Amino acid sequence: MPQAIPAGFTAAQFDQVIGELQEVVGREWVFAQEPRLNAYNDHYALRELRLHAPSAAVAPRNVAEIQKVLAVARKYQVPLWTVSTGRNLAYGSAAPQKAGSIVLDLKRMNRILEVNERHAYAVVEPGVSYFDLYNHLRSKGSRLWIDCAAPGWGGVVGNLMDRGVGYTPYGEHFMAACGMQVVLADGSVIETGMGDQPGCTAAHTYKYGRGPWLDGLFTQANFGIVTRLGIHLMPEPPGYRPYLVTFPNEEDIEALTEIIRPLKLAMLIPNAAVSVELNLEAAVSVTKAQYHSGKGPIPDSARRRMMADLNVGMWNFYAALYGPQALMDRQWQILEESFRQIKGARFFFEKDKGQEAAFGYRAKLMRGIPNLTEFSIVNWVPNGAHVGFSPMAPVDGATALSQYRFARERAHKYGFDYTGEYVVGWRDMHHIFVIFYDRDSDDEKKRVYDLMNEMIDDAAAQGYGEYRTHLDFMDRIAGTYNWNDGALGKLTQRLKDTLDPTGILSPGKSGIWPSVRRG
Amino acid sequence: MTCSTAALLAMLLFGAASVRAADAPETATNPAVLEKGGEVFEKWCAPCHAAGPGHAGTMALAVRLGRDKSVLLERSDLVDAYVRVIVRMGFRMMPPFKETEISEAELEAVAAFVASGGGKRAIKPQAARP
Repeated sequence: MPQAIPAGFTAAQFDQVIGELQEVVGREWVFAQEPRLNAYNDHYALRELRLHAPSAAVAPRNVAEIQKVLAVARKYQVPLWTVSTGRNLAYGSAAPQKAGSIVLDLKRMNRILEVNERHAYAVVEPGVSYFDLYNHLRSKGSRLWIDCAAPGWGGVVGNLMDRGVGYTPYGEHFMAACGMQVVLADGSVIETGMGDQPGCTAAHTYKYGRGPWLDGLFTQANFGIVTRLGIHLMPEPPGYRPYLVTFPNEEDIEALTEIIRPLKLAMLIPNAAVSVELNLEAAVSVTKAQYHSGKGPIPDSARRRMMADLNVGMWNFYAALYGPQALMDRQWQILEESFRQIKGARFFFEKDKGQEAAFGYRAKLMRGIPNLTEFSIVNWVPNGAHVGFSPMAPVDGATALSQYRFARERAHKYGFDYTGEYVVGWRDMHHIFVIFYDRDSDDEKKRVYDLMNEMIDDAAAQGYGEYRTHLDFMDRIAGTYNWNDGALGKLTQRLKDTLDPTGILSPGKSGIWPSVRRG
Repeated sequence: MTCSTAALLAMLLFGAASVRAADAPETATNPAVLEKGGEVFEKWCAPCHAAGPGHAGTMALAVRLGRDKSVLLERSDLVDAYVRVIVRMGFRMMPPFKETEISEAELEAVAAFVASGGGKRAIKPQAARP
């Protein structure tokens, strides 16, 4: 595995940095040599590992140690790359944007500081995973639910800070944030919102405090290190009923999305629901090779066979009802009537498909039970790896069909399958196209890289912007957000240089580079 | 398999490191170690490697090696040193795990737990490590 020494450092100088970090956190929590450093690389890297290779990793235990680590970083002007669990394998895992950065691994800060049953929130440190929080709540007999991303080993804080999504009514994760503790590059510590008033009793029930609300500044950014977070949790409802509606034709995504919009706005579909295309739906339980042994995209004839075998649709809409039985019964009448407008719509419930992998894990996610079943999709191709292309869309039928065709045509052009879904929020859809490739095939990785770049550019030309991306594409996507000669980007650069003048915090995150490391 | 992982496995399986293992007697693993290993397995391994549908690792092994070798705890051909290397280095779709996730002591325990089939068999302790 490659190990990069930070630019401008001699080996002796870097050894000095490592020595000082060891004094802060102890020798066992500084990882500066292989194989101890290996897990901080991007396991699914599209390009050469050295391009995002860390020089070391350091794992502080608390805020005081973070402050001391920051002092070392400022003294030597060595960049840090902050991760909470570093487990988003589609976007770069724990690897830094800039080679030679030291990964600031917050996994050891894994305390669940408070669970407030009455007001339905928790306060957690960044190393807490969805599994950790879920198990903690269950062990305490709590009647609160969490909302988790599909991979249960993900971090509650890290995913929210990257503006990830889940699948319950609290699926828009940043919406549930309420009160942050943040360590700035100069080592000072702030509390956002009501937490800024000492002893305030509403620190985790009211977000905004007084004056400007800064929490958003710290998401998908590099202006500070979030060390504690208040997060609202959903009270267990009196009833829960997950369902699946399947649709037989590719074009049905247009009508389906048109039906979904008013139902979402009226909160008759209360959760972050998903419209899953056939290939991705199938990948949870079968491999591509079971239906197509040749090169290139799986042909339509094979897709039809797969659809029949799995008893699913070309599009598969998963959502759930929450509440008293009588209320769910009435809601379902409206929903069923709405979906039946599409010819060929079929309806499934837990009694029909609860034992199947795909329905089973979706039903868990929509009630906040973390699991790793979705990771099975990587088996779609042998020795699989994946990267996400994630443009946003309004909840609009024509746009949904257009974006689907856009991604599918380009995927086929480069020899890949379209394997995607729409995660439906209140007024938006996260279109997640997960591209699968052989992680040891240089040819496939090159084609994925080219495909991603082409999609980013063409999407921007058509008015589609990505909400989140892998390390390799952060700069390119940042470049597509350029209204008024890039005025917003210039503002974020000014903020970066003001808050972090030595440029030590996660340089390059979301395309934000400190002036000392630009160009 | 990446080159580095392949090299480590080759060293482990064919190199000097395996000689000591061949000479070592089979021993029952300390119950406390097995208990700890079981906890680590449940937390970090079972979500992908338990039996039944919906487990990504089990599915991957079934595709590559066949169903009879797809469930880790039902296999008798895994040695603890091999498990340690895979956990730290990753293998194919499986990512590597950091020491902040699985400590060295926990790795030791879970490797023994897996190699013994969840405590069902005595194992030969293996010396090699990544």
